Amino acid sequence: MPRLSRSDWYDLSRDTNWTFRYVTEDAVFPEELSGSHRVGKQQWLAWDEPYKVSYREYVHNQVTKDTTTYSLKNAISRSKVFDELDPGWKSVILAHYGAITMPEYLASIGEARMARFGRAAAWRNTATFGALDEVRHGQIQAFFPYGLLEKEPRGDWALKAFHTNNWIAIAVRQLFDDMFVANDAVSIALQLTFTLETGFTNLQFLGMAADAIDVGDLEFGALISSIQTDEARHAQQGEPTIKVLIDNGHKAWGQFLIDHMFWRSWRAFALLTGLSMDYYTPLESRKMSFREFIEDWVIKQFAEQFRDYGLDFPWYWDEFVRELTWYHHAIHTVVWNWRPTVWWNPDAGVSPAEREWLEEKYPGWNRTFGRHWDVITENVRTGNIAATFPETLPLACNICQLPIVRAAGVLAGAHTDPAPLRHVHEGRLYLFCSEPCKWIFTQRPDRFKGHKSIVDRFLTGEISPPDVGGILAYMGLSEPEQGQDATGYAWANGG
Amino acid sequence: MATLDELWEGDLREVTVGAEVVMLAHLPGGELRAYQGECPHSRFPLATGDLDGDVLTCAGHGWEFDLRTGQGVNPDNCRLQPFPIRVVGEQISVSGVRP
Ligand code: FES
Ligand SMILES: [Fe+2]
Ligand SMILES: [Fe+2]
Repeated sequence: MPRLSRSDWYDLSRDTNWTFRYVTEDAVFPEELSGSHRVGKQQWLAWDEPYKVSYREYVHNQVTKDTTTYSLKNAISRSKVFDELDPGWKSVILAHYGAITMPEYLASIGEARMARFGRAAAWRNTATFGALDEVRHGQIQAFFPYGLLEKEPRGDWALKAFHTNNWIAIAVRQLFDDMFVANDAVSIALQLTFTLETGFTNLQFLGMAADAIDVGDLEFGALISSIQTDEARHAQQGEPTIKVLIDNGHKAWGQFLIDHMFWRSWRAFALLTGLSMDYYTPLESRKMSFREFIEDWVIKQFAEQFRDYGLDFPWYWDEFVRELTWYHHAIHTVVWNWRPTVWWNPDAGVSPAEREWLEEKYPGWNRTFGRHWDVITENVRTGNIAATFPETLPLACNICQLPIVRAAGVLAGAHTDPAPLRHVHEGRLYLFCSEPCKWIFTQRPDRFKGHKSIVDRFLTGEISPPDVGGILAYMGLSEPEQGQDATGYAWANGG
Repeated sequence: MATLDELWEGDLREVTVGAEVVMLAHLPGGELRAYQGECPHSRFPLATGDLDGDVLTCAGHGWEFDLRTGQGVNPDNCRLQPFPIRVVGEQISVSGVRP
């Protein structure tokens, strides 16, 4: 039998579609789940994924990837590699597993929603592969840390984190509910695949894989690059979707969805990647600063996309660019201070050599954040560790759920007022860390109004006893699970 | 730059020309080509890809390019930046100036 090349049969098989006779189009694609009704049924047929893959090729590729990655893991897990990893790097991977494993699995729900409620057969086909990808990512990222349990019991936070009310878990869960679990197909394509995956995670996974190899963590490196290859394929669903919207006169809606999620993605990134790149990754393995990474990769990529699709930079672009110099430094300080509330060991990352690097990458760091660390260093040196723990909960933003750190913004010259932004909706007061977070809320308050931040829960008596012990128990952290300084304060003693 | 002896038919090789990273390809049938060294998708080094006939498959995520023309095959909405190439005797040289 002659072998047809993919291009000879692909479109025909891919575009196989139904004509509905017993049900209405609306009943099959309810707007709440589809989000596609702005554009007519015929117009959606123009949806075309740039990179094509057949089911046979997909399965073949995935089997190969799994075989390679799992056999590498088997080979390595019998060695001492994990014991010898830098303590900061161990925190990078523990934080990653806890914050990312379950969202990957949940992303299969988002992909499946597009696979069912996307309006073009081509789109549903591409999303079907995406759903399979995300199931794989959930499983493989649960299995790898399972292998760490003997050496690091908190590897189980890969599964556990999302089933607790840990503050990071609350933040990540609220974000991903907004982005894909409780979202419609069109919005998922724009917000998950176009904004988060194409714009941020794809690039970050590339960098993380390279860092992992550099620090000698071949297992994690192989895992991350294997995942990234899938991500790169299913992330392409955003492009054709935004193109259909724009070609049919709905650029404004696309722009809104992207503006909304770009900010939220930035917040999550500052927390997870910002700390990892600038404080946890060992100095000798840092190829670029977090700021350089965002500028050279994320901004460049978005600038190209905005240009290609005639989109505008989000209205808060200046504020975003200014934040690159200070926001994640402030969050790092809070996370380190509140280290017992996270399931990894935050690495202060402020040894003399690291401080020099920080000052070089972020001129002025010594004057703003360095001063704060001077005080902490002094307390550690004089044995006054108790003084390095805070007593009160920082206020949390009702959108990003992260601590409100505007005071640090004032120090850095980015804000004039340290007070949180306030907004009253249906009699309830909401607090925000920034104009964009407030904007996200006020554009669609019904979407967010019912949610309680960790501080709201504290103030309404859900956390008892209302003290640090009560908070830690509420967050699911038994004593051995609570984070400690990653290097036992080596940085404070000149090390 | 490179000699024909170092780049056999079916071989790919990465070279730097000034500030540019360039991939050299010796196609079946003997023709030589030079293109941008990094994949337009996510900057993987193209020279680590697989050449089958004229079609190069990137080692990153399987994007395919026709190296005779530089045109993307899958996806077909992109193309590789070519560089002028010259062979004098055994010696291959590439100009780092984008035409
Ligand atoms: S980098 Fe070449 S296919 Fe992704
Ligand atoms: Fe994924
Ligand atoms: Fe994904």
